[in-house]
Amino acid sequence: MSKEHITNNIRTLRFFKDEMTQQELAEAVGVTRQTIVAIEKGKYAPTLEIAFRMAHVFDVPLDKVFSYDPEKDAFKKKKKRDCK
Amino acid sequence: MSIQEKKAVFNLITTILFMGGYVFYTFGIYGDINLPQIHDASFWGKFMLIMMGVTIVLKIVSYIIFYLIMNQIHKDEDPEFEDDYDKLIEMRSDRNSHHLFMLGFILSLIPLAMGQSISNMFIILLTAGLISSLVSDLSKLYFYKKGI
Repeated sequence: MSKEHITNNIRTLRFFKDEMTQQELAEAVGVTRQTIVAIEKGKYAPTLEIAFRMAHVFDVPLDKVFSYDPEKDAFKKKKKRDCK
Repeated sequence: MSIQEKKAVFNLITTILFMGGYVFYTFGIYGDINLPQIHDASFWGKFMLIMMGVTIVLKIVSYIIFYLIMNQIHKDEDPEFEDDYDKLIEMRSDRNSHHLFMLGFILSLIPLAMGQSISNMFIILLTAGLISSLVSDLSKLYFYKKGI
Protein backbone atom coordinates (compact mmCIF):
# COMPACT_ATOMS: atom_id res chain seq x y z
CA MET A 1 0.00 0.00 0.00
CA SER A 2 2.94 2.32 -0.59
CA LYS A 3 2.25 5.74 -2.08
CA GLU A 4 4.69 5.72 -4.98
CA HIS A 5 3.28 8.94 -6.42
CA ILE A 6 4.15 10.87 -3.25
CA THR A 7 7.85 10.86 -2.43
CA ASN A 8 9.65 12.72 0.31
CA ASN A 9 13.08 14.00 1.33
CA ILE A 10 12.56 13.72 5.04
CA ARG A 11 15.60 11.51 5.62
CA THR A 12 17.88 14.00 3.80
CA LEU A 13 16.30 16.99 5.54
CA ARG A 14 16.74 15.34 8.93
CA PHE A 15 20.39 14.75 8.10
CA PHE A 16 20.93 18.42 7.26
CA LYS A 17 19.06 19.43 10.41
CA ASP A 18 21.98 18.24 12.62
CA GLU A 19 21.03 14.57 12.13
CA MET A 20 17.64 15.12 13.74
CA THR A 21 16.18 11.87 15.07
CA GLN A 22 12.78 10.52 14.06
CA GLN A 23 11.62 10.94 17.65
CA GLU A 24 12.68 14.62 17.69
CA LEU A 25 10.83 15.24 14.42
CA ALA A 26 7.79 13.35 15.72
CA GLU A 27 7.68 15.54 18.84
CA ALA A 28 8.15 18.70 16.76
CA VAL A 29 5.18 17.95 14.50
CA GLY A 30 2.96 16.22 17.08
CA VAL A 31 2.87 12.65 15.82
CA THR A 32 4.32 9.33 16.97
CA ARG A 33 7.71 8.03 15.84
CA GLN A 34 5.90 5.17 14.10
CA THR A 35 4.10 7.72 11.92
CA ILE A 36 7.37 9.37 10.92
CA VAL A 37 8.73 5.93 10.00
CA ALA A 38 5.64 5.24 7.86
CA ILE A 39 5.83 8.65 6.13
CA GLU A 40 9.57 8.29 5.44
CA LYS A 41 9.02 4.86 3.90
CA GLY A 42 6.16 6.19 1.79
CA LYS A 43 3.59 3.94 3.47
CA TYR A 44 1.43 6.82 4.61
CA ALA A 45 0.61 10.22 3.14
CA PRO A 46 0.26 12.64 6.06
CA THR A 47 -2.45 15.25 6.41
CA LEU A 48 -1.81 18.68 4.95
CA GLU A 49 -1.41 20.08 8.44
CA ILE A 50 1.36 17.62 9.35
CA ALA A 51 3.04 18.22 5.98
CA PHE A 52 3.09 21.99 6.61
CA ARG A 53 4.39 21.47 10.14
CA MET A 54 7.24 19.36 8.75
CA ALA A 55 8.12 22.02 6.20
CA HIS A 56 8.06 24.57 9.01
CA VAL A 57 10.37 22.46 11.19
CA PHE A 58 12.88 22.08 8.36
CA ASP A 59 12.35 25.71 7.36
CA VAL A 60 11.85 24.85 3.69
CA PRO A 61 8.87 25.13 1.30
CA LEU A 62 6.44 22.21 1.22
CA ASP A 63 7.58 21.03 -2.21
CA LYS A 64 11.11 20.50 -0.83
CA VAL A 65 9.70 17.98 1.65
CA PHE A 66 7.14 16.20 -0.52
CA SER A 67 6.90 15.77 -4.25
CA TYR A 68 4.01 14.45 -6.31
CA ASP A 69 4.23 12.51 -9.56
CA PRO A 70 0.85 12.52 -11.36
CA GLU A 71 2.04 9.82 -13.81
CA LYS A 72 2.27 7.28 -10.98
CA ASP A 73 -0.99 8.29 -9.37
CA ALA A 74 -3.57 5.64 -10.26
CA PHE A 75 -6.61 7.30 -8.68
CA LYS A 76 -10.10 6.84 -10.07
CA LYS A 77 -11.18 9.96 -11.89
CA LYS A 78 -14.70 11.15 -11.16
CA LYS A 79 -17.03 10.79 -14.10
CA LYS A 80 -17.84 14.07 -15.80
CA ARG A 81 -21.50 15.00 -15.77
CA ASP A 82 -23.15 15.76 -19.05
CA CYS A 83 -24.33 19.34 -18.52
CA LYS A 84 -26.00 19.86 -21.86
CA MET B 1 8.65 -3.00 17.33
CA SER B 2 6.83 0.27 18.02
CA ILE B 3 4.58 0.91 21.02
CA GLN B 4 1.50 0.73 18.78
CA GLU B 5 2.47 -2.71 17.47
CA LYS B 6 3.30 -3.90 20.98
CA LYS B 7 -0.13 -2.67 22.10
CA ALA B 8 -1.81 -4.72 19.35
CA VAL B 9 0.21 -7.84 20.19
CA PHE B 10 -0.52 -7.36 23.90
CA ASN B 11 -4.24 -6.99 23.20
CA LEU B 12 -4.18 -10.09 21.00
CA ILE B 13 -2.50 -12.21 23.68
CA THR B 14 -4.70 -10.95 26.53
CA THR B 15 -7.88 -11.52 24.51
CA ILE B 16 -6.93 -15.14 23.85
CA LEU B 17 -5.82 -15.68 27.45
CA PHE B 18 -8.80 -14.05 29.16
CA MET B 19 -11.53 -15.37 26.88
CA GLY B 20 -9.89 -18.77 26.52
CA GLY B 21 -9.28 -18.92 30.26
CA TYR B 22 -12.89 -18.09 31.10
CA VAL B 23 -14.26 -20.62 28.61
CA PHE B 24 -11.89 -23.25 30.01
CA TYR B 25 -12.91 -22.32 33.57
CA THR B 26 -16.62 -22.65 32.73
CA PHE B 27 -16.62 -25.70 30.47
CA GLY B 28 -13.35 -27.36 31.44
CA ILE B 29 -12.96 -27.09 35.21
CA TYR B 30 -16.67 -26.75 36.04
CA GLY B 31 -17.90 -28.61 32.95
CA ASP B 32 -19.81 -31.23 34.96
CA ILE B 33 -21.97 -28.46 36.49
CA ASN B 34 -22.29 -26.15 33.49
CA LEU B 35 -22.48 -28.46 30.47
CA PRO B 36 -25.98 -29.83 31.30
CA GLN B 37 -27.26 -26.20 31.32
CA ILE B 38 -26.09 -25.20 27.84
CA HIS B 39 -29.59 -25.54 26.39
CA ASP B 40 -30.87 -22.97 28.86
CA ALA B 41 -30.96 -19.34 27.64
CA SER B 42 -30.53 -17.94 31.17
CA PHE B 43 -27.23 -19.84 31.52
CA TRP B 44 -25.88 -18.14 28.38
CA GLY B 45 -27.10 -14.77 29.56
CA LYS B 46 -25.22 -15.18 32.86
CA PHE B 47 -22.19 -16.62 31.07
CA MET B 48 -21.94 -13.69 28.64
CA LEU B 49 -22.51 -11.02 31.32
CA ILE B 50 -19.96 -12.51 33.71
CA MET B 51 -17.46 -12.98 30.88
CA MET B 52 -17.84 -9.34 29.81
CA GLY B 53 -17.40 -8.10 33.38
CA VAL B 54 -14.39 -10.33 34.09
CA THR B 55 -12.75 -9.48 30.75
CA ILE B 56 -13.22 -5.70 31.24
CA VAL B 57 -11.72 -5.77 34.76
CA LEU B 58 -8.80 -7.97 33.68
CA LYS B 59 -8.16 -5.78 30.61
CA ILE B 60 -8.08 -2.61 32.73
CA VAL B 61 -5.64 -4.16 35.22
CA SER B 62 -3.45 -5.63 32.47
CA TYR B 63 -3.39 -2.30 30.58
CA ILE B 64 -2.27 -0.42 33.70
CA ILE B 65 0.60 -2.90 34.07
CA PHE B 66 1.35 -2.69 30.34
CA TYR B 67 1.52 1.13 30.36
CA LEU B 68 3.75 1.11 33.46
CA ILE B 69 6.16 -1.27 31.70
CA MET B 70 6.01 0.74 28.44
CA ASN B 71 6.77 3.95 30.35
CA GLN B 72 9.95 2.32 31.64
CA ILE B 73 11.02 0.87 28.26
CA HIS B 74 10.14 3.88 26.07
CA LYS B 75 11.06 6.74 28.38
CA ASP B 76 11.07 9.37 25.62
CA GLU B 77 7.67 8.34 24.15
CA ASP B 78 4.16 8.63 25.54
CA PRO B 79 2.46 5.20 25.16
CA GLU B 80 -1.01 6.75 25.36
CA PHE B 81 -0.45 9.30 22.61
CA GLU B 82 -2.35 8.71 19.34
CA ASP B 83 -2.16 10.69 16.12
CA ASP B 84 -4.20 10.71 12.88
CA TYR B 85 -2.30 7.70 11.51
CA ASP B 86 -3.11 5.60 14.59
CA LYS B 87 -6.76 6.69 14.52
CA LEU B 88 -7.04 5.85 10.82
CA ILE B 89 -5.56 2.40 11.42
CA GLU B 90 -7.88 1.88 14.38
CA MET B 91 -10.91 2.83 12.28
CA ARG B 92 -9.96 0.43 9.49
CA SER B 93 -9.27 -2.37 11.96
CA ASP B 94 -12.59 -1.74 13.69
CA ARG B 95 -14.34 -1.80 10.32
CA ASN B 96 -12.88 -5.26 9.57
CA SER B 97 -13.78 -6.44 13.03
CA HIS B 98 -17.36 -5.15 12.83
CA HIS B 99 -17.92 -6.71 9.41
CA LEU B 100 -16.81 -10.09 10.74
CA PHE B 101 -18.96 -9.81 13.83
CA MET B 102 -21.98 -8.87 11.74
CA LEU B 103 -21.37 -11.95 9.61
CA GLY B 104 -21.08 -14.04 12.77
CA PHE B 105 -24.32 -12.59 14.12
CA ILE B 106 -26.16 -13.48 10.90
CA LEU B 107 -24.66 -16.97 10.96
CA SER B 108 -25.73 -17.40 14.58
CA LEU B 109 -29.36 -16.86 13.55
CA ILE B 110 -29.25 -19.84 11.18
CA PRO B 111 -29.33 -22.54 13.93
CA LEU B 112 -32.19 -20.68 15.59
CA ALA B 113 -34.14 -20.53 12.31
CA MET B 114 -33.53 -24.26 11.81
CA GLY B 115 -34.97 -25.03 15.23
CA GLN B 116 -31.65 -26.14 16.73
CA SER B 117 -30.55 -25.64 20.32
CA ILE B 118 -29.91 -22.10 21.54
CA SER B 119 -26.41 -23.20 22.58
CA ASN B 120 -25.37 -23.34 18.89
CA MET B 121 -26.37 -19.73 18.46
CA PHE B 122 -24.35 -18.60 21.47
CA ILE B 123 -21.34 -20.72 20.50
CA ILE B 124 -21.31 -19.07 17.06
CA LEU B 125 -21.77 -15.63 18.65
CA LEU B 126 -18.94 -16.27 21.08
CA THR B 127 -16.65 -17.53 18.31
CA ALA B 128 -17.52 -14.54 16.12
CA GLY B 129 -16.75 -12.20 19.01
CA LEU B 130 -13.38 -13.82 19.60
CA ILE B 131 -12.46 -13.93 15.90
CA SER B 132 -13.54 -10.33 15.29
CA SER B 133 -11.46 -9.18 18.24
CA LEU B 134 -8.43 -11.09 16.95
CA VAL B 135 -8.98 -9.74 13.42
CA SER B 136 -9.03 -6.19 14.80
CA ASP B 137 -5.57 -6.64 16.35
CA LEU B 138 -4.20 -8.55 13.37
CA SER B 139 -5.48 -5.81 11.04
CA LYS B 140 -3.69 -3.22 13.16
CA LEU B 141 -0.44 -5.17 12.89
CA TYR B 142 -0.95 -5.55 9.13
CA PHE B 143 -1.63 -1.83 8.60
CA TYR B 144 1.35 -0.79 10.73
CA LYS B 145 3.54 -3.13 8.69
CA LYS B 146 2.16 -2.37 5.23
CA GLY B 147 0.93 1.19 5.67
CA ILE B 148 -2.36 2.72 4.59
